[in-house]
Amino acid sequence: MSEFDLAVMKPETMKSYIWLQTADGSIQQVEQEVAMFCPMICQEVIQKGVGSSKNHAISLPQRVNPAMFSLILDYCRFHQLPGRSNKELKTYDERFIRMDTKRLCELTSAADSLQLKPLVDLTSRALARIIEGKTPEEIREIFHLPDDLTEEEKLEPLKNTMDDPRIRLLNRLYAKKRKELKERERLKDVEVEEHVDERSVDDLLSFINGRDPKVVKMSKGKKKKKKKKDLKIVSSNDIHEKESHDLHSKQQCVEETGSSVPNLPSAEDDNSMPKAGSEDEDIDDEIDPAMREMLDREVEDFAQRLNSNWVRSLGQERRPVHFSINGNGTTRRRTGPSP
Amino acid sequence: MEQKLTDGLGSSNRDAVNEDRISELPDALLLQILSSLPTDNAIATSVLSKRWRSLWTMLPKLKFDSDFNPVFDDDNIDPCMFSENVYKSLSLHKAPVLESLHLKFEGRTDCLDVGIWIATAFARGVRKLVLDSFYHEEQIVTLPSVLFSYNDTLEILKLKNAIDLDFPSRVCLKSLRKLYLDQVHFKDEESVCNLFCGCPSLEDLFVHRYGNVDVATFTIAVPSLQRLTIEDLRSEGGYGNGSYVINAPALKYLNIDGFNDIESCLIEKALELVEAKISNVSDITNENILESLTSAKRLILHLSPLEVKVPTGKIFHRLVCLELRTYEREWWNLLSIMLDSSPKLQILKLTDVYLHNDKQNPDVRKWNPPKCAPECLLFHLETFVWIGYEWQRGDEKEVATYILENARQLKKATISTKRIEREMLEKLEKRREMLNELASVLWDPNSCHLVFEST
Repeated sequence: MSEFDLAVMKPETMKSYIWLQTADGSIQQVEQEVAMFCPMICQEVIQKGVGSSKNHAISLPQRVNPAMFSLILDYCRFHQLPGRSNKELKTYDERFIRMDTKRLCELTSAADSLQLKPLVDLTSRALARIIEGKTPEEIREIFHLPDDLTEEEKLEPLKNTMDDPRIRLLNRLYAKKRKELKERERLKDVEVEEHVDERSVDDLLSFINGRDPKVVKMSKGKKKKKKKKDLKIVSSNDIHEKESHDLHSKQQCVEETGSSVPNLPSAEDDNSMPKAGSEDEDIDDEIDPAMREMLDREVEDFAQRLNSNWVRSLGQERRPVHFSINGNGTTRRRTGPSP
Repeated sequence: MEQKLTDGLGSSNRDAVNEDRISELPDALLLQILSSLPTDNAIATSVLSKRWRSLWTMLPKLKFDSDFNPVFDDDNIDPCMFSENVYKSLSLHKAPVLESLHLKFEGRTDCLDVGIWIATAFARGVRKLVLDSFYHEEQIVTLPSVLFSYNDTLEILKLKNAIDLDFPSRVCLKSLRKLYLDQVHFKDEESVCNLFCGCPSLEDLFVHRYGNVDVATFTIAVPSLQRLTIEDLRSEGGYGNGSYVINAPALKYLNIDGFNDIESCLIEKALELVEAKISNVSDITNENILESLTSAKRLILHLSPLEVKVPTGKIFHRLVCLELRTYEREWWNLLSIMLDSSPKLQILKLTDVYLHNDKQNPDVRKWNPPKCAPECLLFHLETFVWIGYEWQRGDEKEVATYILENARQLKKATISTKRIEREMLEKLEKRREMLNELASVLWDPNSCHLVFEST
């Protein structure tokens, strides 16, 4: 009997098939319920009505080569059968993904193009497990990744190209803090002023948020610009010098801990600082002089307050600094759970 | 799991490019793979190759755990290093929205660091923020309250453990829908108020606290609140007896657990209440718990009538489903009152899931069944379930008999008893006898399906 006759007759006992064509041109027929397990094939059949005969075979995406397709069909065949227990499925899946990484990648790609989400999830988790806990060299070897980053790029993985002025501000704040901490470390012998700053960490951060009462009086439209006032805290010269010291110490730290997480060094600030400085001045021009004077005063204030806090936090490394910072000087009895 | 690759003898650069199958995958897939990795591993991939350099910055969810590395001693974990990494990662992150940021850090972290992390996360539009601070030498972190003075992206906030909350003025968390406070410490009652009042969209509140450690009266006054769970873990050595005030007119789901030895618990009536679960309450000097739940459709009461005021009269006019725990003292009296007070009851469930062996001696007080059959039994009760039925106890047998006898609309009754070993033939026989007895008192054996189970 010709295929045409078979298609016409279709008695109940006969299965129906879908015709599929892989990237290499070969055509095969697959049981309907198995093929329809793939959303992409399902869509083609329903929306375009193809796949019912050899001449109208569904063309599979290029990422699906015959070997992968046969694997996927095995998966679909197993999973589409109703009545499988979760344990059965899990055991099957675990055995199914045991293959070399190259095939795993191809399989992920193929499953993705067929929109077969459960298999994509399974394979991507397997790939994640392979990557987890390995050093970059190991990962590159396993996946044959080209080692095409320069040494510099590796040390400074990314430049901060964040446009958000608040992020840049926080960058500076953080850099300044680190710088000052290092400086204090070195000058530990020097007598420190006894003056206790009553103001809290809250006030410091209110500058960041622009919620400081004095500053809030300005028009609301200038909110974002308010945050730039911190940029004037330090001159870029100072930063350059200190940053290079920071980089060295940071690298030392990394070597000691031996962690595989790349050190995101302070050096990147070197790159962003001078640039950002000039940009900010442009923006600051929009603020009228009277306001700018006020901002300058605030900045001085702010810098002073920052200093005081770090002094205290340095001198009292292991004591609960947080209580005294709030200004009431009382320590709280902790009757909570033990760590 | 996978076989070692056997090729690769001096592969040239060109070969390497051809062999690299993983980098061919679309960005979305690579991101999916990265999402399954712990965050620090994912960030480490940025040194792999050009393709991978900035992939991780599009990750929607980030989690940093300063306790993660078990190799090093406590003393060697450098909080500065951790702060540095967190901060840098956050500022490099580029995805349009930071879906979720989860930070686990030590109590001795400088609160300026914590402040900068939070500020950066807010600047990145974070939707879900989890701060878990674990105790280190009894130190806790005070959250910089000023950061919460305005935020309109945060939807879920979870604060755990060694965190101190001090809000001298009202916060403004416009989009916050879910708030979890897990053993955190409020500085004063004003802070509690300033926090709750500043969340106009708050729907879910989950509080897990040591009731006698921070504030004396814990007031929850949130007009938008729909789901509330309070678990009080009273600690030994606390001071004073706390109080609770709950004012949530839009409340739909209430769960109270562990109010023991409390000065007062006052709940405003919640007219939209769908379900309430009250468990483990005792010794409350001044309370109106059950009175406030009269609009409920479902009630789960794991408490004894000796510990709370049980109002009488047909007040539970919407109650359709009731569950009582048979482990409580004089639970059967609670049952009587509730049957009388709930005219529309359709489902009754009695449970003792743990099959306690030390229940109160049944002879101490006799059960007083309702004087005349309650309305619900006559007209509405259709389902009766008893888990952990102790067929040897007289009091339980009385209750079971009463219900089965009088429930005229009963369609299904399920009684589940403790498992008896196959060898204990005599016991098995006795149980079978007793269960048959029960079956015989059924009001309408034809329309009621009686099921006996054994756990």
